[in-house]
Parts: sequence; C-alpha cells; structure tokens
Amino acid sequence: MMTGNYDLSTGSVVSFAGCVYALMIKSGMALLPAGIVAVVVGILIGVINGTMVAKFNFPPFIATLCMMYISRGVALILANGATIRDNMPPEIGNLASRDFLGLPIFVVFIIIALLIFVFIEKKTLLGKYALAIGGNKNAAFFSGINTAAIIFAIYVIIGGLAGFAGVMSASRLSAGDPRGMVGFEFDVILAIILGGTSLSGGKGSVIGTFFGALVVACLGNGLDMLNILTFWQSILKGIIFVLAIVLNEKVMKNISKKTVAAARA
Amino acid sequence: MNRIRKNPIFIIVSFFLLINVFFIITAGDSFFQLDNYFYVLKQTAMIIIVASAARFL
Repeated sequence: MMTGNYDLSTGSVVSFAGCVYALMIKSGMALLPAGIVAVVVGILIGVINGTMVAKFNFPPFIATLCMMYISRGVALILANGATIRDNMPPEIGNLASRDFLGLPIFVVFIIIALLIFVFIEKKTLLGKYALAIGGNKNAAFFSGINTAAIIFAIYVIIGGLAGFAGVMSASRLSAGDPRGMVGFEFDVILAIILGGTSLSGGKGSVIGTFFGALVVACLGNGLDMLNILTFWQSILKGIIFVLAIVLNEKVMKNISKKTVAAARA
Repeated sequence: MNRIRKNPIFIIVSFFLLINVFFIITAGDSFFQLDNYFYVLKQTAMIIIVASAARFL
C-alpha cells in the first residue's frame, strides 16, 4: 500500500499453502521440509504477481484478483473440495502448540516479524525506496530507483509470508482448509489502513499496522464475549473500515498541509 | 502536543486503549487477562505478519 499497490490474493495463498502443507504432512514428510515447500509455493505466487504488476504493468487489482481465483481453485482441486483432515498425523499441530520463553510461538513470530519490518522500514534501502515510490513513482524512477525491482521484491516477500501464514493456519487447525481464509486479504488491508498507511501510498508505519490489526482482533474478541452475533461484527467491521478511510484521509491532508506550509516558510 | 494528536499511531493506540477499557467494563474480567490477549494475538498473528509486509507494497 505504501507504493500505491496491493495484493488481493493473500487469503487464497494462505489457504493454498496450508493445503499443500497438510498434504505433505499427510504423505509422511517431516514438518520442516513440508513448511519449506509451502513457503516456496507462496513465493512462486508472489513471483507471478510481481512479474504481472512490475514487469508487464498489469493493474495490481486485476493481477492479484486473477491469482486469488487461481490459488483458490488449485487449493480446492488439491483437497478434492473438502477439508484435508482425515488420517492426519497429530504432529501437524506441533507448531501452534509450542511455547518459547513462556510465550506462545505465534506471539514470538509476531515479535520477530515486527523487528524485521521495523528494521527494513527505518534502516534499509528497500524501505526508503518503497516510501519514495509511494510518494511519487515517476520522481523515484527518474532519480535512479529501479521501481519495478522494488515492487517485484515486495510481492515475493508477501508471497513467502502468506505461505508461512498458511503453515501457521494449517498447524492451528490441524488441517488444510481450501475454503478457509475468505476475507483475509481485506482484514490485512483494514489493519494497514487503520494503522495510518495512506491509500494513495507514501506514508505509514509497521507499528501502526500492528495496532490496526490488534484493534480489529480485540473488537471481534470483545464482541464474542458479549455474545454479539458474527453478522453484527461484520457490519461493525464495515463501519470501522469507512471511518478509518475518512480519518486517514483527513489526518494525511492535515500532515500534507503542514508540510507545504513548513516548506513555504 | 498538537503534532502528537495528529499522528496516526497516536490515534490508533488511543482507539485500542478505548476499546480495551470499554470491553473491560462490559465483558468483565475474562477480557482483561493475559491468556485472552495471547489468544487474540494468536488469532491475529497471520494478519499481522502478512500486513507488516503488505504495507510496503
């Protein structure tokens, strides 16, 4: 979103990679190689997305929408349209049930991901170039940044992480679900927008995205505890989405105004 | 102070705290427990990990 692009295929890729992981475990493969295969599947889809958008200039909406349908379709074919659960070795759930230093392993993954991406954001050229491309793609290109390579690299990273998320999902469910993770991509976009990343690119932070995701999750959890039906939660999520976009644009406009005023002064 | 108030992170953190206070009052002690927060984080882990990368796009 920082460079003005987006990926609508993440939910389907998570589901697809989860099915691949579950099938590999079921066929007797060890956890680590099966996990690597699932991540590679995600990376390959990222490569296709990146090639379509960065190399052939497909609109990101069209390119990733195509991959969303293709990934979902392949997942359904692999799983014969049903959840891969029968005769599943119990080891598949090992990852989700593991703790590290008293913390659930998923929380440790979050901490590692945040540290890596805050580092990328603040200290690496990839983060700075992504920000520059989002600010003004043409200016970034003419100042010598290989915009296509940066966008391609980010699509590949997202694909790999979606593959890893598929491993986590299959481990948590102890199954591969080809119909799961519907709407995941919109939860991702909602978290990013709530975190302050501008829809038109060029702004935002990783920590904001973390809190954006937490807000959505806490709302769902709290409403569950109050026994409020999922249908109402969905409506509330939609309302928050609209409010987030309005607030986001307002805050960004204020920041832009101040920047212009400061530049003039 | 005005600059902090217009910072997107400040706004989202305030919103997060507000939601927590609301649910602590309405949903009771079961919401404000470490286990519950770990459960929420476990549920959101996949979204956070993918979103952290997707925001660079």
